[in-house]
Amino acid sequence: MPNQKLIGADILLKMLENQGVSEIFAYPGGAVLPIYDSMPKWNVRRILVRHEQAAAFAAQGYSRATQGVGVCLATSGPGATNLVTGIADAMLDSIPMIAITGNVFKHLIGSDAFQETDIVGICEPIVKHSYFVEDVNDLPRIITEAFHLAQTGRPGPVLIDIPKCIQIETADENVTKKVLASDDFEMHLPGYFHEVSTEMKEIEKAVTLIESAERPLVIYGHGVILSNAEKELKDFLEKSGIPNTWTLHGIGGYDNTQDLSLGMLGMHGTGAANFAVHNADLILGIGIRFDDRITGRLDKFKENKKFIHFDIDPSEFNKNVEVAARVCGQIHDTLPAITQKISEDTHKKFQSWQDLCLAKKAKWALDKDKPGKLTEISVINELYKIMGEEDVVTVDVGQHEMWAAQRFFPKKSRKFLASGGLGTMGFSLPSAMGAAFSGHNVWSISGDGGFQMNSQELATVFQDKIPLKIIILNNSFLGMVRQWQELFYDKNYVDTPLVNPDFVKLGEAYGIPSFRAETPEEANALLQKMKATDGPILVEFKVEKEENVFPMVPQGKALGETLLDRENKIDTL
Amino acid sequence: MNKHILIVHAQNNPGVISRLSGLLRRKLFNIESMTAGTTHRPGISSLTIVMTGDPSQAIKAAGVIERLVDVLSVEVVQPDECVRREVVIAKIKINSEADEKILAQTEGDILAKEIYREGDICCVELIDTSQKLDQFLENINKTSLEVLDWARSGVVAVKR
Repeated sequence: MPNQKLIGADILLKMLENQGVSEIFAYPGGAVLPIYDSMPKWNVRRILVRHEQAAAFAAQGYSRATQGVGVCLATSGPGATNLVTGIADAMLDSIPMIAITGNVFKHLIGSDAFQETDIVGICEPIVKHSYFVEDVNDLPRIITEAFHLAQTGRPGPVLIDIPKCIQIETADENVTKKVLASDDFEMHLPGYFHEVSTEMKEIEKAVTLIESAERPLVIYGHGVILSNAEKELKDFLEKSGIPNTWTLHGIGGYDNTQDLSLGMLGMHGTGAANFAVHNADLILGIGIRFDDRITGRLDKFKENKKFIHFDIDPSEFNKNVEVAARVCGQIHDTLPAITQKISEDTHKKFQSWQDLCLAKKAKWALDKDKPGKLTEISVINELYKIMGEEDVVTVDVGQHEMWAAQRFFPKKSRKFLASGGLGTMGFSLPSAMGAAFSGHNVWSISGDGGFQMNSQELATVFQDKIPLKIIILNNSFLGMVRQWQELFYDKNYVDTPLVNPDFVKLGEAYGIPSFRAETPEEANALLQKMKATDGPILVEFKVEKEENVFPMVPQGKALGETLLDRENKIDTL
Repeated sequence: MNKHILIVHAQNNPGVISRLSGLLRRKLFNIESMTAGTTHRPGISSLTIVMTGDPSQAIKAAGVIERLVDVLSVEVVQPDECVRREVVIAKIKINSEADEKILAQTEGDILAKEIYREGDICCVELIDTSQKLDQFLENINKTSLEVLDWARSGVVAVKR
């Protein structure tokens, strides 16, 4: 292609191609029109969302399920601000994502022009890094850097804001040539050190702490999955015989069905997991950030125990708990060094502690189905039973999320996707759209409240033929908020009862086969039907209205005060 | 309250000061001053941040600053590990002959330098440690001199 000229929009799209992007989640608008005009020329498929927030969540779902980097694109002003919740969500959960926004012409920047917002400024606290593109010839380097930053070290979202004039400006010939030849562009990131390594003395400290502990416990989290350290974790747990528990994002990081796997910990953790945390004398926090939802009352959490912390982000150490050993780096590099150093019979030392944990696990089993009643738990249990090993589940936020998190033990990571840090209602459906590009079956579970926060995406599912299995667990309440009102606000149910639309008609209006289950028999039959359906399908489950999620640690209480139900607490040593 | 000095080197990219100050604000660190300027290395800025709080706060602040992609290095330096200075310009009204004498005396005591004079208005410059500057401003307030305004630059520091 001699003397071919490319404008900024082409450079962007070809660079996305060069980065291996095959689809982007996007919504058109005035300040991205040149990009849309160029789209048919390049091999980047567009998924036309119906709200930009969904584009950000779909991009995240893509990243979470595939290990790739999801890309979303929106116009300036409201398009850009609609991305904000999804970007913040990606930041808190360390999800790699590229958000691209158009902006007004450079000469209009700062003039309060139509649909102008300072999206770089707005997003400053919620991105790993951001760029405002001032020269079209910088675009290839910026895109290269953005993908590098998003995926390496502690992953996170990167924003690229591109004024419209840059999108239509012709790039220099040498830049164009390199872009067309898929050549690499040199990055300029002298302040970015993602290859951190741990000092050997910290490894040795950790080994000594493990070997001198009596009641050690592993809490593992998202970092294990982001670091692809599932095998290294398995090797460590099997050699050391240390009981383990996991955070919401740790689900699937290890085979959660093993004996010494005590269940998820924290606010809705199992009795055994919270018992073990409370009574442990050594905690190994592997890829976790000691967030308040897992620690409960922090001073009690820290009492009488030492901590070994594994993280790639040095600023996480001593943030919430003071650590005795800080193991900095990729867990797949650091953990094997410890596994190798601990002695073969370490696990024998912990026999009585293991037995105690196992006894508690048997004693405080989770709530079962209520015979004859259709509950969220019964739907979740049945779904877990019939799901394939490769199937992906996305959940929304609230009661169903916690019931599912307590009961899903996928054999592999990246199969249970949730909005953990930000806790965004409306996450499930759009993130499932992105997850569908993993090629696996995807089940989207929402409550009746959260579903309506992004229900417009049924149009995207229909138009782009995304084969989702959409479950709405309808209890006609904002269930988790109602639970708190019941337990702590004297059942003062202000604005938690919802008057809902007919979800079956809603689904049908969007062209999606939709059904309703009101009994356990109907529910089981419809779950089978969902499993057997290739295209999108929606089922509303009319479940019991006022169920509560237990176990529960009320806010401000210690994990040792975990409530197994309304009356009974766990006991402690 | 303990004061801590952080010396930051960063790429001189657009928005770097905003990123830094926004970060410190949202983590609720108490910032006493923040100065920025170019260095001998093209494209690299040096920033000096003075913050109050216990030492662990300073270490935490350094930790989150280090996460910024634009930041090349950040160090919490102890007073005896660095050389630091601050500038004050004080604008003073001279009402009488007696004031002139007091001013000359005060200037002499702390090595201040008169840098501007028109009519009864005089501007005095002082470059010293923040502690000395505090002393100067306190002393001058005790006299009959009428201070109309003053400006402080914030601390700049270089590691020894």
